[in-house]
Amino acid sequence: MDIKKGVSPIIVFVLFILVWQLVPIHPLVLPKPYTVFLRVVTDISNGILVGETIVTLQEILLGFAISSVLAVLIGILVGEFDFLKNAIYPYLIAIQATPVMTIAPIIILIFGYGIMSKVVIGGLISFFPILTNVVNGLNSVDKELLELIKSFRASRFKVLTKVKLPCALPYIFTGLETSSVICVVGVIFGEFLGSSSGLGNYIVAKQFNLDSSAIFSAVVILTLIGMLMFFSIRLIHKKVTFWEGK
Amino acid sequence: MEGEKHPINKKLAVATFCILALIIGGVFYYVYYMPRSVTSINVAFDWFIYGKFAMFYPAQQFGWYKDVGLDVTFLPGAGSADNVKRLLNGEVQFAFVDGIQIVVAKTLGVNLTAVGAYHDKNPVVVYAWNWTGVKEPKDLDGKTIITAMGGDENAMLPIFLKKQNVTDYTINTVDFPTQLNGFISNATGYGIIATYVTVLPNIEASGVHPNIIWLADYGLDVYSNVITCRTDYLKAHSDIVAKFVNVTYRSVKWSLQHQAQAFNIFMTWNPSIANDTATRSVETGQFNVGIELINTTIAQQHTYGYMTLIKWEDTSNMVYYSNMISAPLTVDQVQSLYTNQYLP
Repeated sequence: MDIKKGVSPIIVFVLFILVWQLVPIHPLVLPKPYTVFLRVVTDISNGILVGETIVTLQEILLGFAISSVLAVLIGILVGEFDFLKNAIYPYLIAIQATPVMTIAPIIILIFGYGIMSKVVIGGLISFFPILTNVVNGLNSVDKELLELIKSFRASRFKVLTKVKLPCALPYIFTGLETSSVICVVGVIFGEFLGSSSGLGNYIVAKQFNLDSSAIFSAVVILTLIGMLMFFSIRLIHKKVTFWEGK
Repeated sequence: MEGEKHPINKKLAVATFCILALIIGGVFYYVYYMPRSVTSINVAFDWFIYGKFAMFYPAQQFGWYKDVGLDVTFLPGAGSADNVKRLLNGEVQFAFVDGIQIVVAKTLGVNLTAVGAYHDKNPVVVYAWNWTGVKEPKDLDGKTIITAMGGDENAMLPIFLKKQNVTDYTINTVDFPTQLNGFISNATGYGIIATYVTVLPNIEASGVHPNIIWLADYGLDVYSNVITCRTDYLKAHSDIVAKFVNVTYRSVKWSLQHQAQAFNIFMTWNPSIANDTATRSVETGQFNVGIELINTTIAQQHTYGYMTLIKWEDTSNMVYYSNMISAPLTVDQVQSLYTNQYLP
């Protein structure tokens, strides 16, 4: 069973590469997978992509970390206090409904061309999925369980830390997993809009130079970063919420 | 026998009449009603459709493309590099491509041919708010300049500054709308951008009247927008290329002679462009800038769209000096980048 589980993604990957290899599109538009592979190896070994990757990775990690902490804290407050939920939740939804892409140029102008504007865009775009999952998680606790712990005269803080948060953890981790990938997209979009370094900046520069294999090598790195973020959080998720699925 | 009708001759006469009538009718139908074989071609502008492209539309309005058997569709674009890809995947047969990308493509084994210049004068300029004190290139020393990502100015500006002995400068790159809005609103705090002269009407419409430094006026005049097709397409369909280029530049010439009419035709063909006074003013400004870029001394000496070997060599050398290619193109390679053969 486990072997089957491990083999199926490999089969899909091989099929994907095969189709990519066989698609009759000019290599300047869509370079062949082997060319991209060689380019990734070359660009990493000569250090070109390393510097750009470090910049982008800093922005992603910082944006994701800040957004996660804020989303969990605000989510707990909104989930715990009804008056706060009534007061600010509609506005949080309004922020989410506003396409970040449209306000991103303003963010660039306010926070400048450096790392901070990308952190803000990445953070903003990844904030809401975590927040909604925190609120949903806190509201999903079994009412009988809540009644039971309250009958022991547990304080509000105890209820939150001993019952609500542990019950909400699977939800919170699902939000974190989704946001970790979205954050990569946000940061790259920010780099497209205004930057002097990072993988997004590298892609735009290479687009101008018609260097398609370089563009795709950066895309491969970004995909790997996104996957690494996602699976790292999933691993932590499984370790922390070990009771899930049992 | 006299007076007797000859039945065979009568039948022959009727048959002959019918055949002649059929032939004449067929010829008449063919000449006036038979649909001619029409070749559909797509042309990609380098940006959304705005006043700069007005000179193409008289040919549509007066049916000049149709007269030569072409059904032409103009499409908006997303920049010169993107247009190279659209040419390669066959989505368009002609596209606005910058000289820089044609040179780079050549070194990558992609053969494109410029069939006519649209910007004979290079449109890259440096705009500076008055408060910056920047009026000429040397004033840029110690300044920060905002450029647009993926724009020609990123390649041209460092070379321009070096030529002008300006060594202490910073370049910040942003996307185009951010660059323009930042400059107009003065939000960047730097007050200096390098971009295209075609946006001057937009800047002036916002009430900002910046100082302008043309890079071309200081010796860096390389090919920008040229009408381009794939070299293999040119070889296989030289008749279509000849028809398209000839009619297009006839349209350009007519537009320059009848500017107000040409602009009105453009607005008629593009109803999505608002027809209010402010928008018309900006679009007219862009049309006038377009005229300035195409109606140069070289064009007046030869013909509109005419390209020179010297300027293509300058373009190739500029690309080399900006480290976009590892070696300059040979003269033969440069000559293969363009042709004036199809211009009227």
